[in-house]
Amino acid sequence: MSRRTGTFRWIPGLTVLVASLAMLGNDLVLARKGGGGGAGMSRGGPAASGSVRPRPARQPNKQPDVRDSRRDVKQDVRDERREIKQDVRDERRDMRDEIRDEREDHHEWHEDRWKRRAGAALTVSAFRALTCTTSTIVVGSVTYYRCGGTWYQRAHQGGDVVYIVVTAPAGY
Amino acid sequence: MAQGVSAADEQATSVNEQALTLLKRSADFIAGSRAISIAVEYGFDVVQASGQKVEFGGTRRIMVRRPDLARIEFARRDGTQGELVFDGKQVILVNKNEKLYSIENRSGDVGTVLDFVADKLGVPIPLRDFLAPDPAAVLTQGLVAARYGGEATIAGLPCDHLAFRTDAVDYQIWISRGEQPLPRRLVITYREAEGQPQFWAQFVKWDINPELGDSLFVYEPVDGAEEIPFIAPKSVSTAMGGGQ
Repeated sequence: MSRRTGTFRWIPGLTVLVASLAMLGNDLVLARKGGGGGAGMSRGGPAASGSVRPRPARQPNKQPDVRDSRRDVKQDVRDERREIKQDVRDERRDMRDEIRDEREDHHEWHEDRWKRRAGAALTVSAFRALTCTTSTIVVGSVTYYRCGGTWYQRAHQGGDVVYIVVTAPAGY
Repeated sequence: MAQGVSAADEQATSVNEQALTLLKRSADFIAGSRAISIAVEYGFDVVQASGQKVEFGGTRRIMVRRPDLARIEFARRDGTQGELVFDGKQVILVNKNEKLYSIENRSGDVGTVLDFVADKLGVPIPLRDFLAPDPAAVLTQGLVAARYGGEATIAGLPCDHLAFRTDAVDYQIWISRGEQPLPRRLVITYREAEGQPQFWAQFVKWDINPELGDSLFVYEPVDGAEEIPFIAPKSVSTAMGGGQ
């Protein structure tokens, strides 16, 4: 089954969601049926930070909020503001590259891409848990989980271990 | 709206100098240490879609050797145990239950690197404000009001009870009286967030300038441990994959 992983970009003070319909059509609809890890409870949020400097953009289950971003930027010191501007420029450039890549090869997913960019920008479809009976194989040092026609591997998202959709390992 | 400044308005924006002085004294005392070891118990509200608040939490042991070594051992109430190690060159997040770890190359002082881990990687690091190079600056950032609440006893220790409002949060802190003016309790209210969730921490033990050996700040993967990537935080947090 062809499947696009949605791209969710995160940059300081500004969040841009570029979700493809394919992602919503497959992963998230299935996801709702499962009910969610920990009996469907949300486990994150601003209070989890334990800091007097909450970041609006990191609040889960919240849509991007331009007002929050503005306020956040106002609060930040000048050099951070510069950094954000630079990030935005980088991000726009990256996004242009990304769109070009996607046009060139709609189904290719570069594994090393998010490894290089970890923490900076990009995430893929991520799930708290897999609800199907998975088969597991280890390729190199990476454990892959197969669930129907979809392959997953684990990643750290925030403080949690999640399953992310990946391309099938070579030979499968 | 009534004209003039009401008592409530005045209270909301007045800065009690005694409260501010006590806070800065504590923050500067912490900042002046070569090393710190803190044992802490904490909890935080998560406001569910229904509006109901549910508390999660755990215990942590935070060890820092300035300028650039840190080890945070955590045990969450849900049973997850792990550690976050910063060896001066890399940050390693370890999930002990599943024998997983992730590495991010990063150097700098502890406070700056932990801010990066929290802000960019989305890994919550409760109480990192106290590990900043200048915690007083962090704690008074955007300060709107400061109040002095008098003496209060926390875990048998006489403390000063202080309450602050910044442009982001309200928080209260209880600081020991005496030679070591250390925080004993902290409560943060995320005033701007829906449902106004709170974070609380009880500082069970403080050690200032303990001997923290080099080996504490090195991570050696256990047999069978697997390295996994960090991915950025995102909004779909309770999803399940592959279900039918």
